[in-house]
Amino acid sequence: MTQEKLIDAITDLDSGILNRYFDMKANLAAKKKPKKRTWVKWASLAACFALIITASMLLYPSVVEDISSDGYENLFLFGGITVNMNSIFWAFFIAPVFSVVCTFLMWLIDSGIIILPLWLIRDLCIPILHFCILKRCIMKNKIQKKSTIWLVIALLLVTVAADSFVLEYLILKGRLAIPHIIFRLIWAILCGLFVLGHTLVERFYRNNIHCNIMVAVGSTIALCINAFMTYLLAPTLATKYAIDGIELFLMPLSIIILSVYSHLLGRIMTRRFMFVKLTGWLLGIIASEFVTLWLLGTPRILPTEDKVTTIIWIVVSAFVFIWCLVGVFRTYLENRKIQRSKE
Amino acid sequence: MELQTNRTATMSDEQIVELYWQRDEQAIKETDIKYKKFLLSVAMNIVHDMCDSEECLNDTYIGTWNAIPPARPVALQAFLGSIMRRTAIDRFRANKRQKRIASEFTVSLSELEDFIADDDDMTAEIETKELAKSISNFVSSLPDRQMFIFVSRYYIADPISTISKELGCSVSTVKREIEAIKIGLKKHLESEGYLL
Repeated sequence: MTQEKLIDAITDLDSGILNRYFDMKANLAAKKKPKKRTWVKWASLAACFALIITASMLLYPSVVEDISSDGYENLFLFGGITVNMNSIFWAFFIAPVFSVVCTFLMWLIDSGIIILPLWLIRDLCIPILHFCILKRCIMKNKIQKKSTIWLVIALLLVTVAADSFVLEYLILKGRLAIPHIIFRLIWAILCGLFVLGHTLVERFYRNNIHCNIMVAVGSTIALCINAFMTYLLAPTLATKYAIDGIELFLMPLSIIILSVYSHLLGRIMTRRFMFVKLTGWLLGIIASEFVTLWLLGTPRILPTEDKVTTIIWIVVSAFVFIWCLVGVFRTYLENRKIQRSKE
Repeated sequence: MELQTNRTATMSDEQIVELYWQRDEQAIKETDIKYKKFLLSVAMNIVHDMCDSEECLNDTYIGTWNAIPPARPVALQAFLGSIMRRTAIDRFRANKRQKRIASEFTVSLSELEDFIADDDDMTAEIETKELAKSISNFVSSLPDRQMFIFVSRYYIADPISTISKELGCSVSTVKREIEAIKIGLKKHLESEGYLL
């Protein structure tokens, strides 16, 4: 087939199609939406962070009762439910990059004030970074995207499972390994589905109200399953990890924030610096393992004894993460510049 | 021919076609009032030169004058668009023989390079009309949104940014949909034996 022939063939397109086209064009012009304001998404993002902080601050006074008298081993009180501080330490390190930052902040602050906001952020970290990788895979591998997505999801699940198993084996000699791994895998799958669902909706069905409703329904069902699973697993897990009522209370909140956040990320994330983001994610996991095991080995001691190692991990992770943010921001500015020049 | 372009269009397509049938020169004036902007945009997307576009516009009016009658188009805009596209492509080819033109049309053509192979001998017998029919069948089967993108991009040769604005979505979304359409078209043409 020659180019000439293809051009001529397209020129001879059926007039019915052209009629359809012009009708649709007229309809679109008639119901044209007002111009988008780019500040809205940034304001929404800021509002999302504000929501996290505000919710955390509102919860904080009723959470902390006694954190100082006996160091970090003592208990929090939350509506009569006790939460062991060790479990909170452990919980922080589920998130790869933020966990290191959290450690640093706690080390600086030397108190429990920052704990709850960071705990909420914990639930966002893995999905956010994973979202970056998924998007990268989708953008780069148009033909084999499905297999690549499955590969990345498998990588996440294997990482989470291995992480859980290693921790369980080292702490409890594997006594709670299976329920613990199941719990974390379910949580990881739910997060992954949320982010993937929102990303796909954002990419392909932004203007399709039915798809948005489907995702909202799916989110609600996932939320219920999550809460139910937490309720079922609570008696077993509460023994050592205190994953009980407080998780039950916080998960709906965090999962809603996660939904909003992943949706917003779908709008602002770009493919630039994705390799760095991937590297950051892997480094974060390694750092997380390292710091977690080290801390859990001596749970009453904050990482002040080996400042050099901690600082190295903190600097590397923070640098990578900031680099990613700068990359996103730069791309946004460049796109804006290009758009303006075109206009 | 001096044309009036200041007043807004008041005549319907049927009335304008009727004027052509009555051989009333007012038909061209009314066409100009109603469709000049659209026709110029089609020409500009292809030849990327204002003078050439103006000439294509005049050629289109003459072509329409000669075509109606005997033709009695149901959709005048599509009819005019088709004539303008042919005229502009002829001009584009003439210009291309002399120099390379960086137009939106060139860019949209380069996107279809996957479909172009050095198999002239094999496909020489295939009539353009048949190919057009095959492409039309494919485009007809597309959902409205994808059909709109296809026609905008490959018939009107609109820039992707313009399409995204019309659809109220991002440029990257349109690019992704274009990719999906291209893959679908390629499969369709392969299944009908146009591509190897």
